Amino acid sequence: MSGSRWFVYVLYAITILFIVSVCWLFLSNIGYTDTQSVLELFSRPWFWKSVKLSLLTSCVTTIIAIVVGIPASYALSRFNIPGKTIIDVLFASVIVLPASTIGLCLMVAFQYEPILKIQQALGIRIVHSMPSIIIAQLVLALAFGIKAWRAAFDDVNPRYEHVARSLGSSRMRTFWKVTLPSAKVGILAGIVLAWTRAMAEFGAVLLFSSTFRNRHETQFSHISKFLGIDRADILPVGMWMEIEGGNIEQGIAIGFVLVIITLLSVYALNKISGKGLQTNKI
Amino acid sequence: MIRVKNLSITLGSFVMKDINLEVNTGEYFILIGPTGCGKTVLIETLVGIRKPDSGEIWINNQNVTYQFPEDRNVGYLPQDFALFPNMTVEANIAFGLKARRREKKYIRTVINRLAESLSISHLLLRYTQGLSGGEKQRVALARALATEPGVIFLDEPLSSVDENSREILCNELKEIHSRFKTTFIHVSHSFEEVSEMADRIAVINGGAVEQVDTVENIMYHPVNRFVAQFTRTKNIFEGTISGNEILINENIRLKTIYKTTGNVLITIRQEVIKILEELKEEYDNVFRGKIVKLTKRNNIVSIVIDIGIPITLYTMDYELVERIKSKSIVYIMIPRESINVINI
Repeated sequence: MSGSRWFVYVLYAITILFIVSVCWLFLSNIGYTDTQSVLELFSRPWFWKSVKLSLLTSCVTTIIAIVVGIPASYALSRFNIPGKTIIDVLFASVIVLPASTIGLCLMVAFQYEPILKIQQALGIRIVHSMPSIIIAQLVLALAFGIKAWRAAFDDVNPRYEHVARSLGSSRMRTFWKVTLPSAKVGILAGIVLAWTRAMAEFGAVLLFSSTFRNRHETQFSHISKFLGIDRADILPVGMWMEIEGGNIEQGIAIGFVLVIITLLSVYALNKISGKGLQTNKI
Repeated sequence: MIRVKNLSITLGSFVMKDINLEVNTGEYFILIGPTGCGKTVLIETLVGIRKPDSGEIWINNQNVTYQFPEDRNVGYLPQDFALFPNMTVEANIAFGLKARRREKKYIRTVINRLAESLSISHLLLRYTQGLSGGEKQRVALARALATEPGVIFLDEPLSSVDENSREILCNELKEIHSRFKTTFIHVSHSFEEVSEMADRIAVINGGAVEQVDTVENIMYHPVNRFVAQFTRTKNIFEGTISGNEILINENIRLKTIYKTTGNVLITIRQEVIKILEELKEEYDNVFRGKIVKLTKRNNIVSIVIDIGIPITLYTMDYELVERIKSKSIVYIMIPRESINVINI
């Protein structure tokens, strides 16, 4: 048998082993929970509040990330900004650092001047408050989003913009009409990535925001109560709390909910990428 | 008219200094030079993509030096034409008119007129992927022409097409230029590619303009060795001139129409040298030599004859070539008016 054939067999074997391992990773957990635990989890009001809180915070985080991150990514891609390399290193560091370290950094930053003074002047306190969830998610979501969006803008031939401007189109119109549509696949992928990252964030939120489920009702604002997200934690924190409290079955059930949400997001990401490419082929 | 006055541009370690050019309205003007000479940097500065260090750019009596590209009323065709991939051909052509907020009815009229004129009506509803090189060029030209620009800049539009298509696209460009009478400034690195299209040519080298002239003058009267070599002049020699006689070596003396003294560089186009089958007394600059090389390429026969120095000549007279092929010794005549003399 030729070396080439052996090489292909080895590649197949490694790939199959990897797929089986990933499937087993998820499926092995099924044995540790049951339908009753799942139904019990679904019957608990705090669970649905957690789902609502997770969806709400991750969506708000994603919207802020889009508003801030897409223009910043475009600027990083197109302009000779001083210290660009340092900015790149900083964003890459946020991606590779343990999320709990980010949470710790945020906690320290918000508990000391000058940010503390700003909070005092506005009469607010961010650390361990519900808005802090969004800040913690945002740092991670932005780092991932900017990475994807910048790559998307880098892929757009700058000549499109040069030609558009020579035709009388302002820089802003060129951005909306030429650059953004040309980068749409990468932009959408970045949005899904940022949302998924926000949804799955745990370490930074736990350290910066702490937990909410066991706090007293009076500690929540009217808005939180109105939105029905008071005395609830985001799903990853909720899962951790269940496991910490010895409710392994329900912790695993929450884990499954997160796995399903993530799988659906990644599937959507692949669909978006595929659809975008097909549109360009017309 | 486009006027470039003392323009200086720096791009990293590359510097273009004191560029001066004048391009007449309606002219087909070509900027030519080897790769890396700065012609694309210059065209991008004229379009407004780059800012110059100093100097002025005037387009139709308006100083546009520090204007944004969108305010210059120019057309720009980059190497790959950069047709917007997210739009149909029709939307590509309409882009500049929509940016200028023209009425829908007017936009429709312009699209139809240009599409018909450039034979792209059947492509209007298609996206730009999958168009042929020629179709892309015509769509890009329609897009640029739609806004009635004062000048259209073309940055090596023929570089990415195969040799067969290149000739067709060259002819199309020239034909479209003569039909629309818009000023064209075309960048190229190949003299052969564009010599038939140009009204005038600027030869650029190392960030400086070496010569601006008609194609004929650039070919037959280059101002220095670089221009002569770049325009593929095969016979370039150094010598000493005294009166109207140039001494290249002890045996080679050439008579010229120029009268000067000192060391000179002479250039003689290979097309003007004649092979003689009979000697006449009125001929001067006649030399006896030996054929050392004979090659045929693209219908042209190139003959290298050693007359003490190697002289290259081109001919398309195949019968003559057949007659002299077997002879070891031939006579050649170099017309004195075709000897270009450059003081060095």
